[in-house]
Amino acid sequence: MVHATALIDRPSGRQAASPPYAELHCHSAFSFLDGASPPDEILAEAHRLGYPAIALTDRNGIYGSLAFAHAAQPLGIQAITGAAVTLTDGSQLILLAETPQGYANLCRLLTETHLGADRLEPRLPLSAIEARHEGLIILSGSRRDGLLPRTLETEGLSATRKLAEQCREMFGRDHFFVEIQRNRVRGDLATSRALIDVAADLQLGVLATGNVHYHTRDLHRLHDVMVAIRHRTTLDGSHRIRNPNSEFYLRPLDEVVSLFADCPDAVASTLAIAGRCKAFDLTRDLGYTFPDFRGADRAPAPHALAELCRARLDERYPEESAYRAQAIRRLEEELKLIELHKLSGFFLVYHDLFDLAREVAIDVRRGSRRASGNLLPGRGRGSSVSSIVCYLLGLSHIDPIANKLFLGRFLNETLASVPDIDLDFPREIREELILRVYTRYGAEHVGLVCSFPTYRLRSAVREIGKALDLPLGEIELVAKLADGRAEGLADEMDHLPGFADRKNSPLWKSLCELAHEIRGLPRHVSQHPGGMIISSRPLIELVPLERAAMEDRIVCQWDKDSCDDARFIKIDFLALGMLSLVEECVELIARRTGAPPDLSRIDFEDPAINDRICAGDTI
Amino acid sequence: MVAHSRAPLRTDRLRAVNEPQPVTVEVYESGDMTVGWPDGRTVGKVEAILESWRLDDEWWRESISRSYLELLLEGGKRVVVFQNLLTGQWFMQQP
Repeated sequence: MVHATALIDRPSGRQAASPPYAELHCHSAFSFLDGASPPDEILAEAHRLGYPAIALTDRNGIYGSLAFAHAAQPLGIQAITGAAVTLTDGSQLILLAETPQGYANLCRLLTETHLGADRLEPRLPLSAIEARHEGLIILSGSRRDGLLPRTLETEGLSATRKLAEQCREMFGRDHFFVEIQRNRVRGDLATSRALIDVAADLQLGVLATGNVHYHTRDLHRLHDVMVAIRHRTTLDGSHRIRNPNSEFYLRPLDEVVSLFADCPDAVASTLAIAGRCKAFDLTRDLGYTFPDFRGADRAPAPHALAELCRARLDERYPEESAYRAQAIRRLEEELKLIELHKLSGFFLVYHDLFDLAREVAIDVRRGSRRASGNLLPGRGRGSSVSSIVCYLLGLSHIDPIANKLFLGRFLNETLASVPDIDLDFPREIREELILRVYTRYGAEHVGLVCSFPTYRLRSAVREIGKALDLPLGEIELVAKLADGRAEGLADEMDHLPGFADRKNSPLWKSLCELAHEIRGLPRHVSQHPGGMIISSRPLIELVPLERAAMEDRIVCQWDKDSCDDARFIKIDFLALGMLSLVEECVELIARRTGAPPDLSRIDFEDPAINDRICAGDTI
Repeated sequence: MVAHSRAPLRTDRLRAVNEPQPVTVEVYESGDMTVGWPDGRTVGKVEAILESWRLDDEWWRESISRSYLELLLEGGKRVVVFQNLLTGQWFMQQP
């Protein structure tokens, strides 16, 4: 006799001999409060389970896709790039990039989803996908929000058939697939059977997907909490919007086969789709190129850069200069290194941007007394000041020869990534400069780098505490304990009067555990302090853009690490409060004395100033 | 007989509807499956498993984790049985 448990608890953790299934619907933590696993942990589990391919399909974005693709490579897993796109009626379709053209369309569609709707409610009309579906594989969506399942639930079978037919006409039979899911939710079986019937009627392909929201079952609690936080409610208040069980994890392959035993073709077809998506690899086929510098049509970049620098060298290091010979040697050395790394165009575009900053500074300062103060528009800082090319192009105001600055940190033969040139500007100049860059290169070619604020223990305690409906005053007491302490929130509670006996109660115990689990996961999209990406090819075909919280600011969906991985050239326009203060001081001095001081004539070697700095007598 | 609709509500008259009843569920190597009462009486032989689903909820209070089966019994009766995954016990409810 076999106990009935055998019917329910299927075997797990075993790898099938040859992978029978690829996961084409998977959310990571970059679905922002709708996925409880970071991409690398999903991949580690997929590798353990023997998955051959997995598609990352986060909500309205590809925020984690490049990191996902790079992390998948050494594991031998095919990373498929995709997204779950929210339509105007709130339903959802899954878009997978089959080809480079499909990826470009995916980026354009995601950009339209964000820029064409309210910032916090991204939406896309179905007609937009119809207009740009080339190279995309489109899946009908999840049980709860998918375009077809939702229609089936609200309008019935006949309306679903009609809509599926419409999708077939719009996208073609080879590009539109009916998705079925078995997450052991009551009604799944009936829904999937109805969808299979619709697909059979219309001769559409059927795909089994897992609608994965976390990589291991035990993370379902964290996902429940995230859903409550996202809807600004409690766990008790989110009963209808949470998933009803813990079955939205990355399943062992034999379990998937067993769940879809009545429709094996739906499982096998996932491998065929993954095979088709091999035509696009995000780590290989991005096709980013830096924009041309002004005058690129007249001379090749290395020639133009050398010419410009040599002309400036004669001004900065005239024949009588003691540093001239050294400067000439250093310039030739740098130009060789720059040519070796094919960075001539990069320096020239920086030069163009600094010229643009000069124009902006003139406009911003016009009418004020500091306009005649010979103030630079901004300043280079960090390792770039050791470069004579930067000095000659005006990107730095420090003479690297006279100051004996070491070049190797900025530029060397083994340089792995593009050198970082940080430019500081007074606040008002930076604000205007950013807008002017959009105008110069075109809105579709420019975007600010984004960042992903992550949960820290304190914010985690506050938000999870609210989801657990714990008293606000008590949450605040515990949140303060959590500040800066990486481990042992429960232990810390021992020292808080009245809390020692609570840490083992279900609610407080859950709080302690979940606060540690959520720590480090991205919470939302924010803006990098000053990084901008400029692209020759429209940036919206390389990475989706969306509105930042700050008005008129557009950010791309990748943070600085992904932008580095993509070999994008990030230009840092940083606001430096001290430069704004200097501008203000010059204005005040000019008002009092009638003329602004000429800052370019300040002697950096003034012993009296050095003595004051040595004495710590600085602001 | 239906109670008077204007009768005052009394909490002592509230009762649970469709309260789960403890049962035993056994599957034989032949593939046959039966549902029985704890005292040994048979509820019925299972003709077909119509659907199975799972519920995980209330983990922050008193965890509920159940695996449900909707069964068609011999003779045409439909029942829902579930196993409490925390204790292993089986219960039966009307669908």
